[in-house]
Amino acid sequence: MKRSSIAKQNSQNKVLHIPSGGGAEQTPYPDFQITTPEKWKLDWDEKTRRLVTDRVENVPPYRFFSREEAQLLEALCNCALPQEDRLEGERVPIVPWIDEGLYNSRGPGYRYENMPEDREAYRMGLQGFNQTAQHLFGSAFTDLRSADQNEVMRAVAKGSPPGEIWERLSAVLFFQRLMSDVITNYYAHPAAWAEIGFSGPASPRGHIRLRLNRRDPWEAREHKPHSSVEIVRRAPGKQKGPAKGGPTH
Amino acid sequence: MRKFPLRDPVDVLIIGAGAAGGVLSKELAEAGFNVVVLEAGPHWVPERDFVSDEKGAGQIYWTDPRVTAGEDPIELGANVTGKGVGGSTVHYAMVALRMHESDFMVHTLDGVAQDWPIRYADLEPYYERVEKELGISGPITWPWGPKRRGSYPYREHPFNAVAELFIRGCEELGIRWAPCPLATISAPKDDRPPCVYRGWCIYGCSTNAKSSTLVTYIPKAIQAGAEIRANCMATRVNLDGNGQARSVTYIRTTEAGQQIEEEQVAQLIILSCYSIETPRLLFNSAQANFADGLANSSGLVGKGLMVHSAHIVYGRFPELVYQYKAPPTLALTQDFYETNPKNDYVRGFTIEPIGPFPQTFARQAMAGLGLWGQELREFMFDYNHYAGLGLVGECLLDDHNQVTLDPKDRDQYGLPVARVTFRWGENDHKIIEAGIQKEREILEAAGAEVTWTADDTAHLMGSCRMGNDPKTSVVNSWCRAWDIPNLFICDGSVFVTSSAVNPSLTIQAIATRTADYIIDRSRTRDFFHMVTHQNF
Repeated sequence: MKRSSIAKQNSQNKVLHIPSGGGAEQTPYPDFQITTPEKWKLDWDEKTRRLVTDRVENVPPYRFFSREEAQLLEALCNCALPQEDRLEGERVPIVPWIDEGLYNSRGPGYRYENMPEDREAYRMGLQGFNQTAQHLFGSAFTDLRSADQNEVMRAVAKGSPPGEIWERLSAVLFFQRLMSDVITNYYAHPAAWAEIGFSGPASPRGHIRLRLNRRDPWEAREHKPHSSVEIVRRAPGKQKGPAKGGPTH
Repeated sequence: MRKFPLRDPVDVLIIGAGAAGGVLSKELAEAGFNVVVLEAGPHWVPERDFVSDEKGAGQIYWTDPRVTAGEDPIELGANVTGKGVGGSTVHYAMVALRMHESDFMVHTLDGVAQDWPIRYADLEPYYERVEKELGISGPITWPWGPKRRGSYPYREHPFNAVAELFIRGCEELGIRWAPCPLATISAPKDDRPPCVYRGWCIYGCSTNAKSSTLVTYIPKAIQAGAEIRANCMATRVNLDGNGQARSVTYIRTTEAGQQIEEEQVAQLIILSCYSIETPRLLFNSAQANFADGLANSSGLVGKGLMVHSAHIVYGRFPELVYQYKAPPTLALTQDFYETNPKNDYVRGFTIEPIGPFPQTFARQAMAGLGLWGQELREFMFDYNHYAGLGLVGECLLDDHNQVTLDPKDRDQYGLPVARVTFRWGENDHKIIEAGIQKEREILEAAGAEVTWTADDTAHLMGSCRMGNDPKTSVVNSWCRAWDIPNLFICDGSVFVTSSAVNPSLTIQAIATRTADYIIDRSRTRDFFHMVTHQNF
């Protein structure tokens, strides 16, 4: 066997290190390890190992956003899905992947008739957030304190934020697009799977215990439930705008 | 795989290797025809290509650009269409239901939409053939619709926790339920192993248990001498001087990414590109004497597009559900399927348990609950305590809902993209409301502590409907275009009504019937005569 191919094989078999519970502070699954040697062997088939290892270890460089745009988007993502419980170097990267998708023109496969194409929508939307920040608090979004940034987000999410851009760009649709990209890229990381007790890849082994309250020994064991009942009861309610379900049935 | 030389005419050229194209290629190749299938996407190898990863599965969906429009624009992309050999059957949830007798005659029974030119009895033998070929796993007894003449070829799958909760809720309320017939095998079939309940079904099955056409009909078609030409995007159907379909121009993308234009001549051409790409290809093929697109003398190409209302109610349970395990839909109820005079609407719905993965679930919580920020992240810590029920609600025919060409946007081949316009009708809204209400009642009866709703649509039906009158339909009851005798349209676009079941099994039954018709006619007289004479 040639030297290079041995090296390649070794890197594929190296178990990816993900802290237990995904390194999250409040997870109900603090001891769940999504990449035990056993799971790596029986649940992570080779192509999935390669794909996810590459995702975790080779975060792409910025090629679409300018430095300022990337900083603004970073601040928006911190509001959209905060990770302050993780050390700076251990946070799930989101902005580089949004950049990568836009750079490679890999969108969802459709645009709403009243929305520009993806790249333009992002450039406009980022400006829009800054305009709303200026209108509400008199400075750029990145200069605001966290509570005010959340206020700006809330105004955009509700659908009629101040700012001239939003007369040409649907705030609700852009907010949903941003959130959708944040969600896709956050929950594409094994640390995010571990913190919610999602067992992740399951090929070739699959699952055996399927019924209520039944768990395969390699699935996440819940320590203390983090009930969402109160979050649901006080949630703002249905977003305006079209259905956004994704494939389910 | 056999390869046909480009310039020699083949007997049958099929565009699209999905639910219908897969069936047609196998049936026609086995009957001795020379068959070529053009498929826009790659030829997947399940063990090599299908990963256990939500984001990484993006390649199996049709994500070429499209525009979605109208008062209730529908979510396209991963929500509606597949790309690659196997088409949408690579990502479908495998729910293998027959339509009911009433579905074919809603105008007669309910005074809405149009009747189909065929009846349930016309499709019944073809449903049976497809169920056998796919190895459908289903229950011994079936409480709804027409009586079945035989049992399902494979035994039903075991229930997961979501199905268990659904059944608990139904029994509490006296609602009948049944195990869901599924196109994934519960015991070995040919060289395929049974399902291992890994749950990643809608992202492509790496076990090879899922009976997509990729691993069922297509290998048999190749065995019988059909050529599946992958990475070939059909751009235009060409006519000869007599108004007959002569050939298809397509762009082949090589492994190096080079795009090469080629043309395949054929005696008979069948479009099986589904409800958006089929009308788009007909429009993009506009030419002399067919300025409004091919086969469009009725003006109905692209019109009457339907989706299912697929609204979801989620319930939070004290028990651990782990909703990601096993095929998502393992049980269902059709107690609310038929028109009920007590309702203020006609037709009805099916309710199916579902099991979305984290990205889909989080997106629905974002859109359905308005969650983002710390609240969304904490909400997701509770993912394993949720069970969801999804609707498959009938959507009435409305010719305002349609596919046209976008005047501005172009795709990577420089072709005008499809523009999809959609709005719900009054009856649709009432079905959605009633469906959501019933889903919530079932979850609450099962012990849900709190529930919430996510709007959703699923499936595509219609846009080139079949009928008995060339003025009010695009194809006849055999899927043959009224305007061009050697052009067939055979996929979900020929649906006249949406029904309230997942459409794949019906698409495949219709394709089997169309194949039988072509085989039968070409036997009684010569094939050339058959393809050139409309009334034959």
